[in-house]
Amino acid sequence: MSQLEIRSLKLENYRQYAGENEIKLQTVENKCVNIIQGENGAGKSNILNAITLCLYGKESHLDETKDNELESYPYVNRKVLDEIGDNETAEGRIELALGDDEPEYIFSRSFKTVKLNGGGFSSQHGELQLKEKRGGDWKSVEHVSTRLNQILPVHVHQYFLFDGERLDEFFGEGYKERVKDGLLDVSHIELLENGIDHLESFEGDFEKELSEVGDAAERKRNEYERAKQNVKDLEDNLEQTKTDISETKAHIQTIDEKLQDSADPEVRKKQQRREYLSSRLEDIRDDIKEVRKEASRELVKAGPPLYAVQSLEYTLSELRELSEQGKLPPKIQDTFIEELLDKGECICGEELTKSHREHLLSLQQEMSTVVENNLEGKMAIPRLQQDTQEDVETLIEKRQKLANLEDKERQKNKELNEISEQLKAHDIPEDVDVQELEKQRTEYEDQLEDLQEQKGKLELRIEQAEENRSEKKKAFNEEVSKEEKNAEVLKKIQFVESSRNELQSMKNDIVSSVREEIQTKMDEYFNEIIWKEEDYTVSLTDDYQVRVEGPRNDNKIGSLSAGERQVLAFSFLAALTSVSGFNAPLVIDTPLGRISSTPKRRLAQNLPQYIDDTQMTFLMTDEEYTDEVRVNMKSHVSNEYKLKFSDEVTEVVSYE
Amino acid sequence: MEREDVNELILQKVDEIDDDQVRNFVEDVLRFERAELDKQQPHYKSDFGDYLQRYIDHWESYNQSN
Repeated sequence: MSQLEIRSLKLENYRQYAGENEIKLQTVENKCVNIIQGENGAGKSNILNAITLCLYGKESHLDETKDNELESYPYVNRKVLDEIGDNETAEGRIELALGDDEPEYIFSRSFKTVKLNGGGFSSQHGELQLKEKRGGDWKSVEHVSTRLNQILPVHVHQYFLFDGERLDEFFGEGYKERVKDGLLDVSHIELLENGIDHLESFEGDFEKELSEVGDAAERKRNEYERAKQNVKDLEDNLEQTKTDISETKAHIQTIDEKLQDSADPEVRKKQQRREYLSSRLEDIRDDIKEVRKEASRELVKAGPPLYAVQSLEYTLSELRELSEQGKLPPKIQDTFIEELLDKGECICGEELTKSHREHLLSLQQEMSTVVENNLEGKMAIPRLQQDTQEDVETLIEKRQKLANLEDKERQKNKELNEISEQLKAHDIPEDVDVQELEKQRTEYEDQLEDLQEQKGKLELRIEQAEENRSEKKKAFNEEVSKEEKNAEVLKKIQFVESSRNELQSMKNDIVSSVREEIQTKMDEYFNEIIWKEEDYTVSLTDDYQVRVEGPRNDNKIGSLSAGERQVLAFSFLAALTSVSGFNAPLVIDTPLGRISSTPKRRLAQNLPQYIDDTQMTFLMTDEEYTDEVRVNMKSHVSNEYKLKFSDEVTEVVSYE
Repeated sequence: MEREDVNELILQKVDEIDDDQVRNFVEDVLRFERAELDKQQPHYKSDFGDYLQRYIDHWESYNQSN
């Protein structure tokens, strides 16, 4: 895959950028970093906004802000607007050139701002335009959004174009969904999922083509159809339950925000404590799930030899006793057979025939096996006993850990219930009706618990229903295959099914290998940047839980500082970019904002190496781009710019 | 599908499919899905039908090969 990079960004009359400004960002080999340094308000974030506005028609930095006032900021530069009259319009344009080798792309979008009577503004942007260069010729592209989705899909842009300062929120509540989405998005899993869904429906059409199959097959077809419908109904039900869960969580979140606005400092304090406890409780529950899995694995390992412990002890003591008595190994019998064979005559005087000799040789062979088994048994059984002893000790350790965690869970729950009861009893009149809000919150919490239980049950029922569907399908296919005339359609069904199975297995393999690689790289990056006396182990479980374990194997993710969480998010995104195979340039606003000095230096030093072959443009404040950081990044930097802001206008100048 | 537009991991997996006809069909399906990724409900059945016609005659089903 050729490298995709931003070659240049042209800004005309956009926000602080009056007139035409071109920022050349093409990097040279092994120097894949661009730096744009500017004070707050100089227009750093608007470079990121310009890119997302141009490509997706959205300014990402403003979209998520709660400050609606910002949204009324005009697209067109203030100074340019000062020069026009009321109800007059000023225009501007953003142009983004992408590529490295061919094809090259120039995306552009125009915008305009109308100066309203009374001092307000109204801004609008035009359609996205695209020119593509292939074979030396530039051509306009008709289906622009399709092409854009192939190069930089809208749903993955947040992993490549983002505000570093907000990264510490990445591992806040609900992060598992974000981790899962990130992994699936950049691995193009959606592509495989669409293919699987469409092939399933395509296959269904062929099943309908199987006609005049006879009564028995019709019955089996009906059973199969019912089984398919059952899976579909359950899946729809699960989707609805997931939506209900999200909505219920949003209601709780709204109540929490209102309680946080209470005039009473005690209420605010309790609410803060609850947020902390809830977050810890989530970690503890994740840990419980993980330790339960580990304990089950240990039980499976230690179980069989543990149940056989008495038999093993008995066998060993028998072997030893027989051995001491000289009965094992059975030397006498062995010698006796040897003598008979040498003599060629039985003790009764009868001469040994060929078949007698064969029988004696086979007995001799059997004796030697008994000797071997005896020796092996005497050695293997104590080894097995030793292993079992160790496995049992590990199992006891896991059980103890589980008991401790469950105790912690009980304590946290108890404290949370106490907070809730205290808030329900709050009777100081104020703007925020604490009592009523807390009652509603409890109802939502109960509802959430029920929904989550329902979700678990549905997932289990879907698994069973899928098995049933598969059996019914097999039975139907067997019945219709009895008719020769169905052979051609059945062949098509089998072909489509084989292709669908290939896509399904590709999906499973990719998700699993990407997850494992991300885990390895996250662990490496996080430990290199956050160097501590003891190593942390960062792991990503198969249900997308991220664990940061210290020496006592406790998950520290809930107690990381804002800077540490930002580094963890960086480690995740760097790992994601590095292993996903997805190729897109990174633009990060304030990448080192909340990170303290030592990790800041390490991040500056290491990030370009972690994500090699990827162009990175960092939008940094003066506090971030210190002399030390600059020295550490120097060998990776291709272009360095400063933003000079004065009188509503920013000028982009090369670094001196 | 421009091969460079699809994740390298997927391309590797496609190349690993042993059955030539299935591999070619899967590649065609992915090429279609890649081009139609931004559409909510792409009309895939006619295209899939064409792809299938290209490969089915040369394909040996389990029953035939066993």
